[in-house]
Amino acid sequence: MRALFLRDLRLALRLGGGAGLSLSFFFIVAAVIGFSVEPDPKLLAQVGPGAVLIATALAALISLDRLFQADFEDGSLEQIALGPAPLEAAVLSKAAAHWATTGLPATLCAPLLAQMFQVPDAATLTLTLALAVGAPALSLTGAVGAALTLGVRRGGLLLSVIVAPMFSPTLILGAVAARAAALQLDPSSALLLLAAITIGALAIAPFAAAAALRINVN
Amino acid sequence: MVAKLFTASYWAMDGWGAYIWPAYGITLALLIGLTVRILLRNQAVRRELTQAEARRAQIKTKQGETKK
Amino acid sequence: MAQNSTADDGSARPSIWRFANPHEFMRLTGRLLPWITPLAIVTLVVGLLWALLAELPPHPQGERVRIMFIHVPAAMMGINIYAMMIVASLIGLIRRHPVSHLAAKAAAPIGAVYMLAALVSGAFWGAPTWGAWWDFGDARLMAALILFFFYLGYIALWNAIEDPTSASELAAVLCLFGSIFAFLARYVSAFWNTLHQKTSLSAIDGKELVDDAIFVPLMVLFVANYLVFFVLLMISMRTEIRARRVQALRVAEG
Repeated sequence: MRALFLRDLRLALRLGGGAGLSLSFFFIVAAVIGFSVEPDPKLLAQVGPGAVLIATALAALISLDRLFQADFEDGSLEQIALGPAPLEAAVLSKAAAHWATTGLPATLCAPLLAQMFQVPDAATLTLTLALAVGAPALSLTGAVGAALTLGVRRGGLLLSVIVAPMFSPTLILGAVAARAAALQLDPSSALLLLAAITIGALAIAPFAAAAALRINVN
Repeated sequence: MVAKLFTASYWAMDGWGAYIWPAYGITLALLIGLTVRILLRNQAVRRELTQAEARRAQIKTKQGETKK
Repeated sequence: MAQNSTADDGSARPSIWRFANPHEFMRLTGRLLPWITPLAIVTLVVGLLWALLAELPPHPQGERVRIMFIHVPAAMMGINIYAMMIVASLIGLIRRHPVSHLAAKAAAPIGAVYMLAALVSGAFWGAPTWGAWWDFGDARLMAALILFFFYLGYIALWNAIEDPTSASELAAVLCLFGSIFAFLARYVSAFWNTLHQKTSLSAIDGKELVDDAIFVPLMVLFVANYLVFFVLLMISMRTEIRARRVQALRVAEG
């Protein structure tokens, strides 16, 4: 299992430029949002958390369609499905590798981006916490979408249409938490629910994705 | 009750007409559009089915003839 | 695939599962459609005329209450159809009945249209009432929007996959997994209310429904829409079954 994860991580880092390219995309999207609104400090401070959340979601979305593709094409996915390790574990491993190359860098760079948008410190901290807790859910639900659209040629757009609505609870709660902190209210209930969603995704998504993979591989 | 339909004040709906009629209109247009699409597809598939079954019947009679 | 369940004494009891057989399904729906269809049309027309022409009790919203006759049934259908799809998907996966999957597939476009009608009619109600056509802060509106997006994704998935068996099973997985988020979205969107004290913008209050002048036409329209849904669903499913037969014949031709 660990060997699988390390291999997935190495592949994810190598394929399509991996974490570095994903990080660049993250910053570029945030910058584009910054360009697209009037640079009024108050407005930017309010938009900032949203920009970071959007950038994280898009960075996750863009790299999803390759999640299972390579293994599917060279037949190793079938091997894994027939092998001793449960397919659910392989899904978890790939989702973890995906998070390590998209969600994790985004979480670590969120404070920097928030500073660029002049987001108040309390909100920055809460936003980073929200991302730390919520970004894994993006990778997990994304994995289900990737498994469902595995056989579809150029399924990237379909994947996005299916997965983006599933991102909404995480994104909404992240925005609520950051805004609460900015207003000096207590963000903990939003953060707790975010954690609950991620834990729920951890419990359910691997089974849904594995079911979809089995359908596609047979 | 139906005589109301011929008075302008009815259609104006106390000034809310501009909101009420499009709400009804768009909804009915959506439902009618959906129904039309379903019916057209139903017709098309029925035609395909009769054609496909006719071809199958032809093939079967040909097979019957060659067996004789 | 057993069409009849066997009772303890070994005799065959006809069970509802026999309609999972396409043949039986075509026969049953063939007999139901000729009389349900006119019933549905008549009920719908009667309901709509009642909604538009009836005298309304005095109400602060005045004539705008008439929009509720469209909005409330549409929203209810949009949600209930999704619930039906969840059940059909579950049955399709567990008992492996292709007809069950076809039911979900056929229901989706109808549900999507109803959901869209609910969103649009809701906007036309909201504009004069709150002054806004759209409100990202309204929890039920956001949940409705997300449900509508789920419908679109579900339909798109069916259309994108060529093999019918894979398509039906993958769509079922999507429907079931997506349902979790549909429920979640409803409660998560309400979190904004913890930040800003918002007056509950409920479209209808309970007290309005008690009045017969509103309650009766609303009930008629509920029934009418269910009938319309059944009719459209049955026609769509018959089309799907015929389409499968066409495919099978084409494959046999080689």
